[in-house]
Amino acid sequence: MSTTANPPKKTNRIGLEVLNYKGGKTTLCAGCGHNSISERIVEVFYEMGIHPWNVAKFSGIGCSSKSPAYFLGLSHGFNGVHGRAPSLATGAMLANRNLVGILVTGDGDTASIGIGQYIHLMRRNLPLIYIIEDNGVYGLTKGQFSATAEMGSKSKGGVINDMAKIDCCLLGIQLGASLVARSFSGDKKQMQAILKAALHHNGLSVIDIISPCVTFNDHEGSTKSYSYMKEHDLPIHEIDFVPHYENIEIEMAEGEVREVELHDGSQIRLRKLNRDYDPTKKTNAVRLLQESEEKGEVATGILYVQPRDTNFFDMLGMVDEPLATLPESRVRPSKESLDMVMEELR
Amino acid sequence: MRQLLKGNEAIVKGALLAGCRAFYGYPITPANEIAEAAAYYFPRCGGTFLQAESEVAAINMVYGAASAGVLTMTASSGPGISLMSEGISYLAGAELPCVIADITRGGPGLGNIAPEQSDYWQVVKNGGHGSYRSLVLAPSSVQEMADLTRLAFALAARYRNPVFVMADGVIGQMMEPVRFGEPAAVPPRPQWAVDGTAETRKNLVSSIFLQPDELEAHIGKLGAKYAEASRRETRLESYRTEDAEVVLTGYGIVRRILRHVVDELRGQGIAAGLLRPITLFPFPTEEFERLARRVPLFVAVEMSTGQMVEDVRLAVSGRAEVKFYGRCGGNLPDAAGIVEFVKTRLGAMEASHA
Ligand SMILES: Cc1ncc(C[n+]2csc(CCOP(=O)(O)OP(=O)(O)O)c2C)c(N)n1
Ligand code: SF4
Ligand SMILES: [Mg+2]
Repeated sequence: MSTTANPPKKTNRIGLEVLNYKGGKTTLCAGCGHNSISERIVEVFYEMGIHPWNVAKFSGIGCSSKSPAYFLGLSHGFNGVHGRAPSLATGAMLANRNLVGILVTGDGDTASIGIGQYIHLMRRNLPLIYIIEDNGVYGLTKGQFSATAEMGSKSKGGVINDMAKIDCCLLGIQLGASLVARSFSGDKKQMQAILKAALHHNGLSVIDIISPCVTFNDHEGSTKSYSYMKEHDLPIHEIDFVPHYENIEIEMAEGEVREVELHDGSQIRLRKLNRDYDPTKKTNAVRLLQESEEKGEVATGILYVQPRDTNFFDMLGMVDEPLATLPESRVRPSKESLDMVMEELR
Repeated sequence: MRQLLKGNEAIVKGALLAGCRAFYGYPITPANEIAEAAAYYFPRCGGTFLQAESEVAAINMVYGAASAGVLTMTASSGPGISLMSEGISYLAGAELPCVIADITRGGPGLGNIAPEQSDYWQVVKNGGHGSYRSLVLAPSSVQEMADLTRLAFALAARYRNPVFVMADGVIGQMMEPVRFGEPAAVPPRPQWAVDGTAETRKNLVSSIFLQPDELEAHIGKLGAKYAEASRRETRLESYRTEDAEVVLTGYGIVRRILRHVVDELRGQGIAAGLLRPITLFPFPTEEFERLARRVPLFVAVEMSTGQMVEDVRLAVSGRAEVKFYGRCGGNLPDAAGIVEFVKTRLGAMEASHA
C-alpha cells in the first residue's frame, strides 16, 4: 500500500496559514461589496505576516461595521457605538500603542452621525487604518441615502438625491490624514496594494472603498453600483508595494514610475497610467478630486501620501511601552512628584 | 372607513391629522417606518420632512421648529433617544411643545432590535438633566397609535412641553385596522412663538435663568404645570377590577396579554382584574391607591427586569403586596406563565395568612 505524503502547508513569514486570518462566515448579502473587502483584508494580513492576535478591529454600527466578524478571527474586535468608532479606537490605541489598529465602518456611520469624530481623528496622526465601506446608503436600516450619495443619484424607490455629497477623502486630505486612498471593492489588486501600504504607514490611513450594496443601491441611476463603477472608475496609477524586508527589483522603464519611501524603508511604487501624478502634493490631490468630480469620474488609487517619521504617540510624548502593560512600579507616582502635588495644595 | 396599516404608519397619519407639519428624523430599527411614512406624506400635505445627520441634529431641528410655533415631531428608538436626551431637556426647559415617538427595542447598549420595555426609566423618569418631566402616552393597539399621537399634540400644545408616544416594537410593527377621525384645524401660531415679526420680537424662548431665584421660580412653574397635568390628564383603562382580589398591571403589548390572563384566571375562579396606565406620566397613582385599600395583591408585568413596578410600589405604598413578572431580551411574557405566577403568589399569601 502506498501512502501519499500531505503536501507541506503554505505559510507566511511568521509560519501561519491563510486559515489563521479568516473570520466567521459572513451573514451579509451575497454579492455585497463589503464581503470582497473582508477577503482582501484576510489576504493582505496573511501575506504581510501580521500577528493576528496583535490586531485590534474597530467598527461602528451598520452592515459594514458587522464585517470585522468575517475576517481575522484570531484578532480582537470592538464593535462600538454608531458613529463613535474613531473615539473608541483613539482611546484603545493610546492605551496600547502596540496594537495594529484597523477600523472598518460605513459611509453612514462616518459621514453623518460620526462626522464630528471622523474630522477630529483626521487631525491626529494616529497609526490606524480607517476603511470606509462606501455604498452611498444606510444598508442596515434598509437603503436611506447617506451623505456620500452623489447629487442627482437615484434611490431604489426612485427618489433623486438633491444634496451635495461629503467626500471623506477630500476631508481627510484637508484635515491632515497622512495617507488617503480611494478604491473599488471590485478592484482586487489595487485594494491589496493600498492595504499593504497602509499597514506600513506611520500614521493615519483613510481608505474610502466604493462597495456596492446589492440589495438597496445597485440599480440604474445609482452612482455606487457595480456597473456605474465599472464605467467610471479611473485608476490614477498602478500600485506596487515593496516592504522593507524584501528587496525586489521591479523592472520599470525610467520616468514611468514614482517611488514613495515610507519611514520604515518600505516603498510604494506607482506606475504612471494616463497621467503623471505626484501623490505627495496636497494641492494635486485636491485638484484631482475636484476635477474628476466635475468630469463624473471616480479617481482611485493613493490620492495622497505624506510619509511621516513621527506619529500621534510621539506628539503626545508617550512612553514606548503600552500603558496597558506598564508595571505598577512605573505607574505609581514617585515620591518627588507626590511631594510636589502636596506642596501645591498647601 | 378603516385602513389596515402598521402601528408606525398610524403615528404619522395621526400626527398629520393633528396638524403636525414638520418631521425631523434619523433611521433606526424598529422605528424606521415612521420616518419612511413621514418622508412620503409630510411633503404631500404641505409639510416638511428632513433626514437629519443624527438624532442629536434631529431633536435640535425639532427645538428650532417648535420655537417658531410649528407643531413638530421626531421618532426613534433607545440608542437614538439617548442621544436626544440633551435636546429634550432644553425643550422642556424652554417650555416648547413637541412630540417624540419612541418605538422601544432591547438594550442596554446596542442590545438588539427585538421589543423590550426597558426604556421606561429613560423616558418616564427623564434621560436628560434637570427638574423636568415629559408627558408619556403608551398605546397598546394600532388604533391607539393614531389616537394617542393626536392627543400627544394636544397635550404638547396645552402644556408647552415634550410629549412621548412610547410603544414597544411589537405595537410599532404590527398591522391592524384603524379608523381615523377628521383632521384638526392646524392651530394658529401660539402667542409665545417667534415668527420673524415686530410683534414677536419681544418673545424670548430660553432655558437659561442665571439668577438662582429666577431658576427656582422657573422650576416651580414647571412643577406646577406637571401637577396640573397629573390632575387633568391621567388616563387609565380598568378591566374587571371592581371585585378583584388580584390586580394585574402592564402597558403596551403586555396589556393585551394581561386582558387574556384576567379572563383565564376568572375562568379558573380567581377574581383578577387589569389596571393599565395609558399615561405613564402622569401615572395613575390615585387609582392604584384606591384599589390598594381593598386589593391585597398587585402583579406588574413588563418586558424588562422591572421598571414601571417601582411606580406601582410608590402608589400602593405598602398597603398591598406588589410582585413583578417580566421577560426581556426580546421575549414576550406568556399568558400561561403569568397565570401560574399569579396562582403561586396567591397560594403563598393564603398559606402565610393561614
Ligand atoms: C444612535 C443610533 N441611531 C441609529 C441607529 C440605526 N442604524 C444602524 S446602522 C445605521 C446606518 C448604517 O449605515 P452605514 O454606516 O452606511 O453602513 P451600511 O449598512 O451601509 O454598511 C443606522 C442609522 C443606531 N444603531 N444607533
Ligand atoms: S443590505 Fe446592502 S450593505 Fe447590507 S449586507 Fe446587504 S448588500 Fe451589503
Ligand atoms: Mg453605507
